[in-house]
Amino acid sequence: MRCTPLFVALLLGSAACDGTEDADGARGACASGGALAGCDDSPTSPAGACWRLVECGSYPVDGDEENDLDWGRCMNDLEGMAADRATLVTACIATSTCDELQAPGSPHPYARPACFAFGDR
Amino acid sequence: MRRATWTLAAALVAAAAPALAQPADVPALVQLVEKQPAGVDRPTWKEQRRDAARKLAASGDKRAVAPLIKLAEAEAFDVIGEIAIEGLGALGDASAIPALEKIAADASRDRSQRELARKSLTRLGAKPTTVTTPPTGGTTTTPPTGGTTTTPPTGGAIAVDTSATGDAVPATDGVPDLLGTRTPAPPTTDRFADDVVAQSESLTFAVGAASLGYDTVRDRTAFNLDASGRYTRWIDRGKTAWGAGGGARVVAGLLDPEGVATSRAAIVDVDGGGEFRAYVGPGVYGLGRAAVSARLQYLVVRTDDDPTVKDTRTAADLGVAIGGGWGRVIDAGARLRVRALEAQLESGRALGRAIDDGLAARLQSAWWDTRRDRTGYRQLVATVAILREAGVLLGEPDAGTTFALLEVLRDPSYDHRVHGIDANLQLVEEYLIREDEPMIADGRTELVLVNATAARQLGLEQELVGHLAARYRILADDGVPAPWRVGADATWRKFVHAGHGELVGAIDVGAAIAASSDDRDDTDLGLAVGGTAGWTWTFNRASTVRAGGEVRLDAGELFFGASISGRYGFLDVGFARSAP
Repeated sequence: MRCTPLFVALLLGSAACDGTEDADGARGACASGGALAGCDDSPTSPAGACWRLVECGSYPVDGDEENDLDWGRCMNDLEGMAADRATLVTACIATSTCDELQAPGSPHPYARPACFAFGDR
Repeated sequence: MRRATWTLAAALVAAAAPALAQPADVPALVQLVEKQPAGVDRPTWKEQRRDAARKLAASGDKRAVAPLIKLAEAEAFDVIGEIAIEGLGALGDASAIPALEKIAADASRDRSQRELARKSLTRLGAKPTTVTTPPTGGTTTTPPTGGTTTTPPTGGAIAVDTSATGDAVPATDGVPDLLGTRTPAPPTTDRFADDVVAQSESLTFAVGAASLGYDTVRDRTAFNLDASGRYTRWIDRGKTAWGAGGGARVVAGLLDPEGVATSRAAIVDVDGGGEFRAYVGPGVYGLGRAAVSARLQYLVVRTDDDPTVKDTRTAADLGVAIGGGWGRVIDAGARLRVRALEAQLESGRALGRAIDDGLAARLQSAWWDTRRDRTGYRQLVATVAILREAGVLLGEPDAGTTFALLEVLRDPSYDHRVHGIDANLQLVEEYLIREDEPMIADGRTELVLVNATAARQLGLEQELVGHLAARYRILADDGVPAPWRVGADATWRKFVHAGHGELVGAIDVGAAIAASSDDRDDTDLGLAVGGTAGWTWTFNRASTVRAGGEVRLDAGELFFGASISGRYGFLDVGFARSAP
């Protein structure tokens, strides 16, 4: 994990600067468990969808490598899509459960969730 | 002394003689009743009109009958209507009987007007038509003419039908509601049982996106749909509380560009659940919850080169929870609406007396009964009738007061105004079905959940609401991670109204913090801190557009964001026994 400025470190504590390269743990209210765990749909926007991937532990906030699947890559992918394709992919992610979004190997994914396949030529 | 007395009596007789001797100028009185004279302002004319109606009633002239019938039928909210109804009895003309019978049987009229109509009918030798409200449940009939029934002890003579749920729905004519049924008349009593502390119901539909397009340039068809609906109902009683709800969301899309490539997708989510609480001591309760959800995801992608990919997944969750807690958070919005109504009347110098909890419950009963109306007409009429009958509203409301009342009744800032403290601990047993997804764990999952809410209404315009939620997986098999999360958030909201009580919007400021762990060796502790601020424009009772900004520190990275979101709702209603 990247070391952050001092004020960020003060806010987030030692985890922000612990020097490890591990991904972050899932932090969504419904990252584990089912309907009773209280999992609302995310905002239907590119940012909302990408944060859902992070909160479900599917993508890290910031990957170790430049081209890792992380929050920034998710935003680039959605913003690079045709509008109608992006709308559906975004809605698909926003309504998916965390376990559906977790690609095998999460949170070090080597594959995108199935929602990204829509409209992929 | 005796001489002075005779002199005074003679003077009084002499003064009264012209009036007694001179018959009422009925045509002039009728004209004054029907048309506002030039040069006379409206308040003055209204007083003159009432006086003219009294004179017509006392005239004994048959020519007064027709205009008084007209007044009796049309003036449901001015005292002139009561003068006319009473006058028709005094005039003794049987041609007034049908009109009086109609008024006596019209449950949308003030009770006082219906009583007067019955008295007048008795004076005319006709038997009053009355309908009764049975003690519970049963159906009621209205005799066509001449039937007599009894008035219930509560004094509420009201036409009712009985729905399957036992809610009283008057059978009078009215504005058709969303479901095509007729809306109720003003209730004469509190419709809620004495032990009902609060009750709420909401039905919301949202369309996130819906589009269909085709262009000949690219020979490409595109279709998107994202729509959802949700219904919830909650009732708090003295010793129990329960609620249930359900929702569905459909996401569908089609992309059909030139060539063989095509993509089709559909996602259907359906969920439902309920919760029951039993209070066993001061604020202490045991609870049970159940929830079920089902999901279908269908995706077909055909590319120019690769073989067609078809991915169909089904998933289902079934969960139950038991636990215990302390406290109660109620939706006090409807009671705050009553308080806002009182404040508007007071500022307009139209408040005759304070609105107590009993009258507030009656008002809320009327609002609850009209919750499915498309317009606010019935709600306003019922509110004015109840306030006038109770002596809260002094006289007929003028245009300004009527507007203020209508604005308060439609004001969505009084929806979902929760108040109180509640904390509970739940043991959750869930069964997750993911048969089409072999890489995803399914089967039994056990969790411990902790939820707490603290909500405070800071007067009519502000509120502060905070939540704390924590979960921890327990009884996981060896080698299976036991993730946990704890998070807290708080939001302050201030509602902004214009000069005549119109809701303009709301400012909100919120903060949230969360920490979590996947309980895996290759992940760190997850930490996120965030803040939001926004402005929400309000368009109608359940429809809003919000523009907001967000700042978030997550995993050491800083994010700023801005968004605009909207929703459209059809129905929002609540009841609260007492004000916070």
